[in-house]
Amino acid sequence: MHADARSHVCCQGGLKPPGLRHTGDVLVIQELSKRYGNNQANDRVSLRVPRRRIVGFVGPNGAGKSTAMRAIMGLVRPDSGSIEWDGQPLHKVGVTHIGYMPEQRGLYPKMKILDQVRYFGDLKGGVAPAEIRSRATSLLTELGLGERLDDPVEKLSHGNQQRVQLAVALVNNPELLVLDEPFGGLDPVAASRLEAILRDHVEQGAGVLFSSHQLELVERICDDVVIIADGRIRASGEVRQVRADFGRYRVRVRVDEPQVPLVECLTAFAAEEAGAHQVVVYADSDQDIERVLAQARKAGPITEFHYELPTLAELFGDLTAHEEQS
Amino acid sequence: MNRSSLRAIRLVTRRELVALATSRAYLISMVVAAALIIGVFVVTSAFPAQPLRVGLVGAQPEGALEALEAAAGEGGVETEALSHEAVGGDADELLSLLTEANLDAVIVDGEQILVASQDTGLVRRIQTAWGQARVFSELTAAGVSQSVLDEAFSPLAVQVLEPDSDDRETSQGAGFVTVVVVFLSIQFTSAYIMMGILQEKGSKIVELLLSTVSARDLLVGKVLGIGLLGLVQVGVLIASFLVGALISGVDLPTLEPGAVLLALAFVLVGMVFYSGLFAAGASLAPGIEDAQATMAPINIVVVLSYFGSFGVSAAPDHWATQALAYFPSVTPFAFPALVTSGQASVVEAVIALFTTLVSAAGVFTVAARIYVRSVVHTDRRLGWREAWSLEPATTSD
Repeated sequence: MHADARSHVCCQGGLKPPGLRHTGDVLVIQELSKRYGNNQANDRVSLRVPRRRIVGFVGPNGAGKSTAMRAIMGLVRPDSGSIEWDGQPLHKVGVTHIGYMPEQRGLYPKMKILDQVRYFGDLKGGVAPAEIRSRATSLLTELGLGERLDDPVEKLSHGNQQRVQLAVALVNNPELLVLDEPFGGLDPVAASRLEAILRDHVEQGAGVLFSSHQLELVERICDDVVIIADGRIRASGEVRQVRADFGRYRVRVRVDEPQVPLVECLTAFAAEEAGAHQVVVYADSDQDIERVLAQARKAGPITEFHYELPTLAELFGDLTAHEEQS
Repeated sequence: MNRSSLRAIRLVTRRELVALATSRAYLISMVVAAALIIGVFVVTSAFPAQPLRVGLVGAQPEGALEALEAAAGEGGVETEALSHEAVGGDADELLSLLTEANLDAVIVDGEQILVASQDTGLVRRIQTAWGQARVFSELTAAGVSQSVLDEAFSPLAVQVLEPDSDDRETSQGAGFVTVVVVFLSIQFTSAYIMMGILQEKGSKIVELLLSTVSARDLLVGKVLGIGLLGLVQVGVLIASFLVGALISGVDLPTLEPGAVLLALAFVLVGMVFYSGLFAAGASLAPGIEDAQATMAPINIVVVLSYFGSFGVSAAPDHWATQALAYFPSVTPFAFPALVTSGQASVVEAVIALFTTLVSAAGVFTVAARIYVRSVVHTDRRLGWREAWSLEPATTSD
C-alpha cells in the first residue's frame, strides 16, 4: 500500500463526529432564498461558519455566493430564511462584529490610506478610536504598507488597494470575516501574507467565510467548504469529508509481471488502462477498495497500489458538470 | 434616531467637510467666484458714465441744452455743431454720420431729431428739454417776467418720508444680488452632493459604506457636511460683494439683522430641498456618464425656479409673481431677495418659510426613500418609479 494512501485513511479516521462539528457556530444561515425577477439567486441556502475555522465558499460565476454574502451584511433583503449570530437574529445584533470585503472593490481615491482605514473602523464602531488608530497602523504595516500610510489610495497599485480593503475589514478585530474573492488579483507574496493574516485571525478565535475561484487555495487553507451552484448548496462540510462524501476514490494499480491482463481482472470496476501494466479504477467505499485490491492480486504480484480522493477542483468540476447537464 | 446613528452621521459629516474643504475644486471655485464678483465691481467703477453726444444743426431754442444737461445725469452732454450739408444725405449716409462722429442723436433746427434706433428714453429727454425751452421762449416773448417764469419752472419740492430707507433701485440691486448668491450656494451644494454620490457609486465604495452605515444616515451626514460648506460659500460670496462695493464706492442697502437671518433660513431650507432632489437623481445613475439623463428633470426645475425668482424680484406686487414666490421650488430663491430688499413683510416671510420647510421635509423624505433604494444599484440606470418600489439598500433603513 502506498504511503499517501495510509495517511489518508489515518486522517479520515480522525474526523470529528458530525454532531460536534458545529459547536461554536458564529453564523448560521438557514433556508435563505432570494429571487431577482426570474433569477433564483439563492434557493434555500444553509451554511454555518464556526469560530476558529476558515470556510471556503466556492461556486461558478453567478452561483449566488455574493448574494448570500450581501444578505449577511444586510445589503440584500432575503425573501425567506434566517441568518443568526450566536443564536440571535443577525439583524437585531447588527453587523458590528463582522468585517466585510465586498466583491465590488472601492475606496475614496483621494483619502490617505491610514485615514481611510480609521474612518471605516470608526464608522463600524465597537472599538475605541485610539485602538482603531493603533490597529489601523499595525495592520497596514503588517500588510506591507507601513511606508505609505499618508499616500492617497489613488497612488496605490490595484493589489495594494486590495490590501487596504483587507485592513478595512480587519480593523475592528471582527469575530467574523466575510470576504468576497479576497485573493483575486493578489500576487503570490500578497496572497501568502493574506493567508497568514487569516490564519492568525482564526487562531485568535474568529471565523472566516470567503469566496474564491482558486480551488487549490481553498483546499489548502480552508477547514470547511461550501459548494454552491445555481443558487443551491451542492456540498458542504469539512474539506476532506466533502471530498470523501461527494467524490469517488481514484485507485491506481500496477502489476509489472501479470499472469493475466490486469484490466480483465478489474472489469467489474470499469478499469481504464493507464500505461503498461497499469490501470485506474474508481471506488465508492473502503470495501470497494478492498475488493479492487483482492481482484488485482489475481493478475499477479502488485507492484504499486495507490488510491486518493478527488481534489476539490475535480469534485467541483463534477458537481457543476452534473448541474449543467440537469 | 439612536446613538449609533448620530455617531455615524457625525463621522460622515466630518469626512465630507474635510474632503470637500481640502479639495482643489472647491477652493478654486470659491476663489474664482469671489474674484469674479469683486472684478465686476472694479471694472464697472473703472469706466465712468459716458456723456450724451448730440450733434446740432442750425439754431436751437434758448435754454434747451441746459434743460437736456439737467436731465442727462452723471455723464453730462457733449455737443458737436454740424452743417446742413452734413445732414443732407439719405438714411444710410445719416447713419454713417452718427456712427463715425459717435453721436447719440442729431437735432436739426430745433425741430427734428435724428436717431439710429427708437431709443424712447433718449428721444423723450430731448423732446422734453426742447419743449420746455420753446415754452420758456414763448412766454418771455409774451412779456412774462423772469421771476414768474423761474417760479413756474422751479422743480417740485421733495419730502422724503423715510430718510433712512434705501431707494428702490438700491433695494432691487440687493434683491438681485441675493438671488444670485442664493442660487450659486444652492447650486454648488447640490452639485457637490450629486458628485459625491456619483463618485461613491462609480468607485463602488458605496457597498463598503453601506455595510457599516445605513443609507439614510449616510445621506443625512453628506447633506449636513456639504451644506455647512455651502453656508461658508454664502459667506464668502456676500463678503465678495461687500468688498467689491466698498472698492467701487457703490451704495449698499442697509439690511436689518432679522432680514439677514430670515434670508439665511431660506437658504438653509433651500439647500435641504434641492440636496434631496439632487441626491435622489444622482442615486439613480450608475456613474457620471448616466447622470445627465437622471438629473435632467431636476435641472429643469432649478432653472425654471431661478428665472421665476427674477420675475418675482422684478414685479413683486403682481398677483401672479406673488403666487409664484410661494411655490416651494421658487421660494428658496425668491424670498431671500424679497426679504433683503424689504419687499416682503415678516409675516409673509414666516409663512413662506414654514410652507417651504414642510415641502422640503416632504421632498427630502421622498428623495431619501429613492436614495436608500437605488444607491446600491451600480450596474444600470434606474427610473424614478422603479427606484421607488425597490427594496431599501440596507436592512437597517
